Amino acid sequence: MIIFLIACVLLTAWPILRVSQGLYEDHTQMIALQGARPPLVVARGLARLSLWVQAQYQQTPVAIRVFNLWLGVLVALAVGWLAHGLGLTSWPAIGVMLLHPLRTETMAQMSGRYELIAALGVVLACVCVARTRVTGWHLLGALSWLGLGWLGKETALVGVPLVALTLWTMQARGLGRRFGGRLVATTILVLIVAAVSQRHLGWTNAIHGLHAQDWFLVQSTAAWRLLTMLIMPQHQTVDFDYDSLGLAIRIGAMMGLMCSVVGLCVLWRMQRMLAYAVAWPLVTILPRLIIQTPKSYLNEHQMFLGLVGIALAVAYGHARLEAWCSVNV
Amino acid sequence: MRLLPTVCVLSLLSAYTVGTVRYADVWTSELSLWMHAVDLAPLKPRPHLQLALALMEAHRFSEAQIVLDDTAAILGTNQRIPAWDRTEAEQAVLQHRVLLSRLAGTGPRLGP
Repeated sequence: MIIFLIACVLLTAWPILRVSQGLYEDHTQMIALQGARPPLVVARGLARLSLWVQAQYQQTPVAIRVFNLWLGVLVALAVGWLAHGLGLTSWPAIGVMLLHPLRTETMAQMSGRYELIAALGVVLACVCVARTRVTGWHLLGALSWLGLGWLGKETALVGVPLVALTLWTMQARGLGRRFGGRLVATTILVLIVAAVSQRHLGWTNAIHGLHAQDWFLVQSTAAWRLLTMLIMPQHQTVDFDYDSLGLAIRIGAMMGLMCSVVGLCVLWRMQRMLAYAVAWPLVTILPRLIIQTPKSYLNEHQMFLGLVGIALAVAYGHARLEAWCSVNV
Repeated sequence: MRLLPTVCVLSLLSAYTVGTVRYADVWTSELSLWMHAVDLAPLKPRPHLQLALALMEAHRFSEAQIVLDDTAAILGTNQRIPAWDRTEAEQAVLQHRVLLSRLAGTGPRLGP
């Protein structure tokens, strides 16, 4: 199994490393970093610092991608650890995180570093609370890992509802029981405040000029496309044309998302662990449906954290099938 | 039958591996990346503009000119492009044309 996984990882790493120069925005970023001072900002600081160090040593785009691939391995191992903590088999989850086509953009782009560090922090935070009895120390550990994730990218804040979801799924006793519901309530409140206040804060007009409802429809379409790509990745591209899709498709995608949420609530009562896995990518994209981001809709690299959901779903499927086979054979 | 779960997961991972290898090939050069993006989004200006830059970098100036002309045509016909994207793309087309004329040594040509 391990040999198969290593062989597949090497096979997929080879084309990612076959690059002579930085692509897209990487080239200009690299030049800017070479002449810049060490980054002292907090948000994204760790990711920027690691890129800055590599830039000072005049490292090639290959070296940057090698570093990203190693971080990808760390994230995959963390997801395997999370699967183990949830009582699932680890290797299918690790395999999905290492081989899924949707991770390609994150590995190949310099800015994928932000996603990788954020994902590592969020997954390790969930590992901290994926247990039946959660103490204050576990919550402190989760908070620290979320802090690390935030040093990668501010999207690591979605780790807060994901930690709460993990607590709920494990039906943790102790502090976990009390904090789970409060965390979910706080997150929903923060999202509502952000949705209502972004126009008053000037965000909407300053960055995109789209009305909130238009943004929600386009982002729903993007989210729906990415969710389907988690299951069947095809027609991947760095810049998908969501604007060319008609209003009917956008409304259909939004309805699809809403039906998924309703389905999730039903699934939660029947198969809690599977519902947890399905909820993961939905929670990951939730803030982006509301808060507008500059000059781009949801991209494939933003679904890297959502990949954890499909990894856990595959691990869950493996465990269920194994149990079924042991009974029926 | 006992191996069924493992076989299922391995089949899935094999399919993912094939998909990753195929898509990772796109990310090996600027040209392959943007040609692929243009194939999948023929009515979106940004991939065309990036492809034009990549062609200029590869000293394929006549092809870059054709791509820029295509972009201008898209901006004229595609009404679904949002205002923010249209404004930026129109400015970028002008800038790219100036850059192209400098690189190709033919003097500035600012019109579409």
